[in-house]
Amino acid sequence: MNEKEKNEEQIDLKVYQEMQELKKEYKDIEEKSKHELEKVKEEYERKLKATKEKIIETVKDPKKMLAFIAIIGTMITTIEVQSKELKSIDPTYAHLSEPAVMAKSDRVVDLNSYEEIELENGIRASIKRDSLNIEKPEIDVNKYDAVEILSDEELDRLKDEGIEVSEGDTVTKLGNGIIAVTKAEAIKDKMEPTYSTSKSLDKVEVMSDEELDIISLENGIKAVTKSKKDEKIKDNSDKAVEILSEEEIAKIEEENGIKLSEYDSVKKLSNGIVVVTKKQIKKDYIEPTYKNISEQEVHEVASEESKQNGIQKMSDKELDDMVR
Amino acid sequence: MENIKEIKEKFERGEISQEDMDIETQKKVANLYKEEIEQIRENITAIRKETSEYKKKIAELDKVNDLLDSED
Repeated sequence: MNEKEKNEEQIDLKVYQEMQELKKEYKDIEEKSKHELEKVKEEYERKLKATKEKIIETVKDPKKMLAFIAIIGTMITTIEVQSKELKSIDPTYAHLSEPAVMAKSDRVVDLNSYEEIELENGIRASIKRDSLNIEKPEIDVNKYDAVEILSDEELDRLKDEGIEVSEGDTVTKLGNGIIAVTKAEAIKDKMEPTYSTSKSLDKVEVMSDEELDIISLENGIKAVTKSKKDEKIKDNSDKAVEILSEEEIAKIEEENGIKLSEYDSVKKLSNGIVVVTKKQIKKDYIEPTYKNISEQEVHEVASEESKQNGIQKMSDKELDDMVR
Repeated sequence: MENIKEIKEKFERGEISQEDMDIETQKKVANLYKEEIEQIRENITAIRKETSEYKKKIAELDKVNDLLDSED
């Protein structure tokens, strides 16, 4: 075996370094989680003790006990009144074709069928009672229009994965347990997917740096477009991909605040857009967050930014030529 | 044959280099890393689940406490 063949048989040293870093990151998270658990446990024990003492004190004193019963009675009356007035509120969680979460309406909610709940982001929504059993959802696996409520734990996990969920975003837990997040800005800007499904990509096209323009879109996401000077584009189908260079990967990480691992799929489409598929998402075959956008729309978004940068906007004809 | 775990530890300590391992050993060491990472992930999930359950219990206790306090 010559030296070259020998080198080719080596596992890239970077793989080890990345795995070591990844392990360290997870270890840190594990330590923090343990610490958090200890804190919560202590708080629970403290509150449990205090509550027990308070209950004993209340039961011992007939005056206090009577006052307590009176409060419970008042609460029941209040709930009865509210049930006649309660209206459903627009939920954070979308895909409402499955009426697990009621859409916004002026209808009075019948509390026998619906229950008003407070979601993790503080928004109140009406949930059909029989869909509340999260342990055993009555929805078909892989049915993308069925939704479920996210737990604190799941929201934390999203945060750890670098996905910041804020009010206005669509956070959907699908029937198969996969969580999909659609950023509010993305809907507004009709952006290409940040994360996309890894479907068969049967063509690889190599583009030079000179052929590419890196632009910043309205929602702050960086995208790559083919340079408009380039006339060599023949195939604009989504199936054409390009391998990213190390420099490009570093740039994507820096500019988008994401960390790419060896498991992620990072591809550049023939229209210049960079598509990142995170490992977990790829594994679970999640649907893209943003999808079904034509190349023309991407260039339209890009040209808005280009205008701000003093770069000439592409005409419709130029775009048509490019698509052809 | 030397234990893969020991080989990995030596590699981490810099006592052996990658070139000292044949390709099969390298793969096994890499797999060991993956297994360790997966194990830590599972631990994190279990810890978080337990934390979440405690938080729910605390929320219930808070409700009871509020009720008990309101009759004062």
